[in-house]
Amino acid sequence: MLSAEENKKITQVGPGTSMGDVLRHYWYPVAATSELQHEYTKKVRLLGEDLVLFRDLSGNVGLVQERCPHRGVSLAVGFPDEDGIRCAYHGWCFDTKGNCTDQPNEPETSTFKERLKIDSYEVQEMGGLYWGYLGPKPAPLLPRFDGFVAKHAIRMIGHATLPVNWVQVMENSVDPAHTEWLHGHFHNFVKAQRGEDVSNAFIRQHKKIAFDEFEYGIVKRRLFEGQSEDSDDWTVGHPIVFPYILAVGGTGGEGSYAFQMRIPVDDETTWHVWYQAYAVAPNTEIPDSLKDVSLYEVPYLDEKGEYLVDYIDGQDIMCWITQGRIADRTDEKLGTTDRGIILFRQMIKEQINKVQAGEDPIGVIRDPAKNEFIELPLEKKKHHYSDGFAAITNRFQTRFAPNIDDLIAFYENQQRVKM
Amino acid sequence: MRSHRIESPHDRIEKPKSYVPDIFFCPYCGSSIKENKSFVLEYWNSDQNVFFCWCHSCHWRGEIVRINQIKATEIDE
Repeated sequence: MLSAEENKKITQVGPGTSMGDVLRHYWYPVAATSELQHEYTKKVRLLGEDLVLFRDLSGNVGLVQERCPHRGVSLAVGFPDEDGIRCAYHGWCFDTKGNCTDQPNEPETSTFKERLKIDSYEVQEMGGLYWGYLGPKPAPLLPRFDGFVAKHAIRMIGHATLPVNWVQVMENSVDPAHTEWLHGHFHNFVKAQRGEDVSNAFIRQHKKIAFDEFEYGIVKRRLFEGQSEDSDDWTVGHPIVFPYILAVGGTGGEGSYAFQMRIPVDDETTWHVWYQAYAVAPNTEIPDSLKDVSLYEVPYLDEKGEYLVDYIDGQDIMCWITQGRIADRTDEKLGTTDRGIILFRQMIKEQINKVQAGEDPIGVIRDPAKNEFIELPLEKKKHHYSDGFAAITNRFQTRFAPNIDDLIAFYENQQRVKM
Repeated sequence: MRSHRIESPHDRIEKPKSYVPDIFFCPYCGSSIKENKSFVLEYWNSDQNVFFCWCHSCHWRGEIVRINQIKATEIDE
């Protein structure tokens, strides 16, 4: 249990809040690159701030406040200029730095526009995503974690906007025991209700779970019943990259990567992005249907509004949402298997103190030498994926990727490589 | 029609309106752990209420447990 004050402190994301200030030290995905391929703007809400991502006619990409300072109209419905975005209402134009470059109906000699600047933020592109940074300057480096920069990779991006605070989503990732029940026993119950039989590696009992702090967050490890202590699940595990990423490992084993990113939209909303990269041998020809980074929405409700609980991520989503928009931690009853959750909360608290003391929180990178290719600890032989590539890929949200059948057909016959 | 159910013992447990853990000082350095930079969280281990503590002042991290009965052997975790 936490006090109400503590719960508020760890869950608030807005500007000027304790955790909001910590969160502003990290880069966040704001769009898939493909979203600006045919469009010029995307409305973005991040850390409680309303923004617009835009591409101008010169190909510059900017992230600025959503509202035009003139009369408050949304620049998300603006249109592109050679060097910026124009407000649809009166044509005021703003470049990627937030400078007002044109005010069409003001007198030619007016200096008004020179005295006007809107909030603008840094944007970078990496791995098929645009990333934005809202924090204090100078901005740290955009971390080049393995899966985002692995070469010659097939990439897929699933996403869903969920009506929950980001912390309860992250807490799910430091709670290994839930996999045995939610993705094991409950999953089998759902399947049995439908008269379906399924082989399900997730049902195996956890004998031990452990958590280690490391340079970028927390590594969680587990030992299942019947496993020896030299198994990858126990000796390596996989990490939670503080504050908002779970690097769970791709279903293809070595050379495949999967990130679950819980991007705080505001206190009660999280943009969940599932990012997969399947690196293949450099001399392997990737089929046309898998060359582009596919972007797809992950559904979590059926046509009747009931939760979709027949796949792993849908089961998790059901739990996060039914906990309430912001989980009430003043009334919870944590047990011994929740120690990872406790550690994550303590890590949050520690980072709040660091930022308030003027220091960088954990995992902020400023040394380019450390940022060429960050290989995260990742078990290569993972028990949970032992049902085989096709079975497990179809049991995750990847089942909704438009080209999933092509991926399964292609990948099962390819040599896996370590980048 | 109003439904009636049998009262359970849990119904008689009065929940605090605003939960605040009853740990006041760091057992290692003696600093006030109530101070909002430290971290105290209560969880349960069998019949024990455990207070996980992290002191921002000395960075001690540990757990505080009230011992109700002295046992000769410990239960496996």
